Amino acid sequence: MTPSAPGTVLAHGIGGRSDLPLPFEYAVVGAGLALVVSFLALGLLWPSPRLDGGTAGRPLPAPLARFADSGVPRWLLGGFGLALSALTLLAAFGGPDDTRNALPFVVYVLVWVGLVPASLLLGPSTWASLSPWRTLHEIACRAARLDPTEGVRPLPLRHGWWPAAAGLTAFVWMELVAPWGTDVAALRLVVVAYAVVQLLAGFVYGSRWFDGGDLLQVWSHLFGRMSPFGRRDDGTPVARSPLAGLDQLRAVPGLTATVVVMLGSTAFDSVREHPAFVGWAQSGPLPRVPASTLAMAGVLAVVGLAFWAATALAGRLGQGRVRGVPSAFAPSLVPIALGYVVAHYYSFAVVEGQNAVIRLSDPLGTGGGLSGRAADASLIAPGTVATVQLVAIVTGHVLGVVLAHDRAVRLFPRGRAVAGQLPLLALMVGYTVGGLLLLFAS
Amino acid sequence: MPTRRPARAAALVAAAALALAGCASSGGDQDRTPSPQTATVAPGATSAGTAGGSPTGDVRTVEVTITGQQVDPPPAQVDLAVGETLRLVVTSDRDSEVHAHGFEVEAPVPAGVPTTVELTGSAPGVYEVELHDPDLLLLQVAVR
Repeated sequence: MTPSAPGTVLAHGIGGRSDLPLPFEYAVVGAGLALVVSFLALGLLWPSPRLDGGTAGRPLPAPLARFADSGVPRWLLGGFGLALSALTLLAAFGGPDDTRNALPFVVYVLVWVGLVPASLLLGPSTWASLSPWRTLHEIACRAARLDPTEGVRPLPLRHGWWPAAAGLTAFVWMELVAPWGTDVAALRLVVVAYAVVQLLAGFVYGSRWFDGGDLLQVWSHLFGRMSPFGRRDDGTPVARSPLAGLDQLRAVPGLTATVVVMLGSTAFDSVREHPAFVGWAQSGPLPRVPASTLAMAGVLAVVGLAFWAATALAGRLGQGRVRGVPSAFAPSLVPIALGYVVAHYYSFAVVEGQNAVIRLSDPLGTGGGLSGRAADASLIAPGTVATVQLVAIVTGHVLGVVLAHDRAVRLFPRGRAVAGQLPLLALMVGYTVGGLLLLFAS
Repeated sequence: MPTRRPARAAALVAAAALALAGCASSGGDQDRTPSPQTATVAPGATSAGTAGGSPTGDVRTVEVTITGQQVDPPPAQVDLAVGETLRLVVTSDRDSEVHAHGFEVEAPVPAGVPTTVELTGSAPGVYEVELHDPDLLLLQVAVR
């Protein structure tokens, strides 16, 4: 028998297992809850704004605050990031060129998916501390006695998060569409090229480049805003509610696009697993890659246009103009995106996270470490997965609705706030029901 | 909501029936080997997946035929209970290989020879059964 080429076994993503469809009862209950919560929010929630992200939260006790300010967490995480990078490079360049290689597992499981719970736990600057390129950049600047925040050129502020939004789109295309997405040789090249580009840009524009230029940083930052730990605008480390951190988020250029890509790409991941879609992509009139690329662009466009239309209408009804409204409401999509991500990646993270550790324990594929162990599947029983999915989607929806409500009563005059919220609620119910339908149908 | 489950089950049964009917009716097209029953014991069928396969009638059979980039019937999700066995008969117009993720079954599929693999559900989840070279999804098996 001819052995399949390395990479083809992984062609449909790591693992080849996906979750059973969400039971219909769960989907109905979720959709019903989303609807009810939305209308309750409209009628019962506070009539004047309550959230004040910049000053909210409870200051951490003095010893904890000193620890947070000491630089120790930053260098602990930075050291961990460098060590993990070194181990990953060892596997990437010295390990076996097949599914035993740790590289795809590090990229798609530990970093991409793992950053979500890590950031939820540790706060918005999780990747800023873990990032190997940011750490190397800072070490190099300090060694040369330069200020890391200063580059040789001023950072063009109007670009905002657009570079990261573009990077995010490219990354999810690589993950979900590119036939070589899990190929060790290709991924090795991508990772090294990305690191070089990030380092160079860091030296040119200073370390603030990473805030809007590194896709992993915005990915981590947005979810980290929902962490119980964060800082007020004046820098005080606080414990706070998940909504306070999101409320603190400033509107930057590219924020809306970033959030739309977060939401849309996860939705597309569900679409592309549907057998009917695969049938069309592999046997339809177009070759597979252009077909899938078009479909991904289509899903992103639908999610984005729906968002734009709903926020534009909200702006018109609520205050008579549209300007600034889409980006003001973009943060309220982050909890919904988080719900999607948890529902979609929970079992993947549990199983493939273990597989990642197993592979990293034997980076060169010599048969040592934990190799030969199988991942424990006791946390992904179908009932558990379905419950996690339902709870994640509904919780995300509730948090999104509450945040949107607070935004609406702040932005819009009192008499028009209710009307202004209606399109947003419709949008969120649409996203949530759409997400549930995708989980139910695939 | 309780009406939907039977509807779905019915749809699946109908799909499976259609698949079988399609195979049976196209038996007259001359481009296939005799009947599904004969095909499952074809000599080309020996593979890791068939070892110990039971010849009893309670094993469901799904037939898939690949012509160029076309998979017939088109990819769909097939339900399988834990412990139940699905007999999959793959006929391809060129030499290739069938790979069932999660079942750890990989078997060569010589051109024109109906090749049987048996998939027994163990861990719940949805698994892809695909052809390599050309890479095509044949079906998804939903183990419940």
